[in-house]
Amino acid sequence: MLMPKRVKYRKMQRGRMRGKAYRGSEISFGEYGLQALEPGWITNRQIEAARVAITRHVRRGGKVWIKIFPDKTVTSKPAETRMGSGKGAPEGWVAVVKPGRMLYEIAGIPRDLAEEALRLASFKLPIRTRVVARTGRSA
Amino acid sequence: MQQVRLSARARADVGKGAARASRRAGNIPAILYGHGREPLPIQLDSHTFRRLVATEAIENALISLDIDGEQDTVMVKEIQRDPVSREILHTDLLRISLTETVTTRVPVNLEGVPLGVREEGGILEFAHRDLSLRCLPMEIPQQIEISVAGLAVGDSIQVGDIQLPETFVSVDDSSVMILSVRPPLLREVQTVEAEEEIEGGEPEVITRRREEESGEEDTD
Repeated sequence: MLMPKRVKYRKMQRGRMRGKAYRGSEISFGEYGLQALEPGWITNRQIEAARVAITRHVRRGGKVWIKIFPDKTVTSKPAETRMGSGKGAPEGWVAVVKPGRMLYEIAGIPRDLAEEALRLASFKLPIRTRVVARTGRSA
Repeated sequence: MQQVRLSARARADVGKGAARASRRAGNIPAILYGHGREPLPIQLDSHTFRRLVATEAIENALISLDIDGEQDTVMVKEIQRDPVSREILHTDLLRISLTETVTTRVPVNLEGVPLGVREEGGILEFAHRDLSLRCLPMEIPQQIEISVAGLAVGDSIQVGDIQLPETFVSVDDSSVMILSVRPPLLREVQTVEAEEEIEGGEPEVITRRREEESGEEDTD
């Protein structure tokens, strides 16, 4: 699963997810894309599950780009622990996603196959998404 | 070459407050610059401009812009959109002269289906979807046609392979790849790789190593 190879610190503050994703909101590589419509944390397991859903549906041909990377640690305290005693242990990795962010891109397959693959991938994600197609330079 | 007419009004106030007020009033804030003259903040009628963008190939169109009665020939340099609603937020317009060359990006259009895709199951992969060309504004083509029918798996087309009319100068290096036909990917290989990565464990913490080197205790 996706995670950084090396990090500066083991634990992170949670942060906010205000605003929209102006960067990474266009289709850069492929012909179709899956775009986030809500903010949220997407775990590396969810990213992988959606990728597997796409590749299983496409079967042969095509190329998939994962446009997000889970570079934020999430921590959690053990069950039935009293509050206090510092921050919990790192439990996983998430990508911070804002509305507009392109999550996956796909190319080299017919439109209906791409749309269905991305629709199936969207069920693996915790946020609302939409399938978008490449338009002209200015779009 | 598309030629369209558009009218605009000069904008007195600049900044996000004024731009938002302009959008609320049904306009699109824009900036007009180039040709050694001062940049001029303007506003376009939202309805007219959106219809123009939706119906015409606006990217390389020559626009006769009427700004409060003053005429200018311009091209669209950039259109900024809201990433979610796709509404046009702002537009950059570039002043041009019909007698001077301009550098612009022209999309490539493929003719035929590559042999490698048709018969060998290869994947057509774009490295660039447009070419950077320098030419006179009246000669800017809508698109560059590239014949790909004869491409087998492993073949590629670079900028130097494309035959351009003499009046066009390619700005990109001749070795820049436009597209290639890659061999088909086997799904089994990808799945095995993905499973191996799961065993990865935790990443290395850079600061901890430094602290150990300097003899300090780990405070985590």
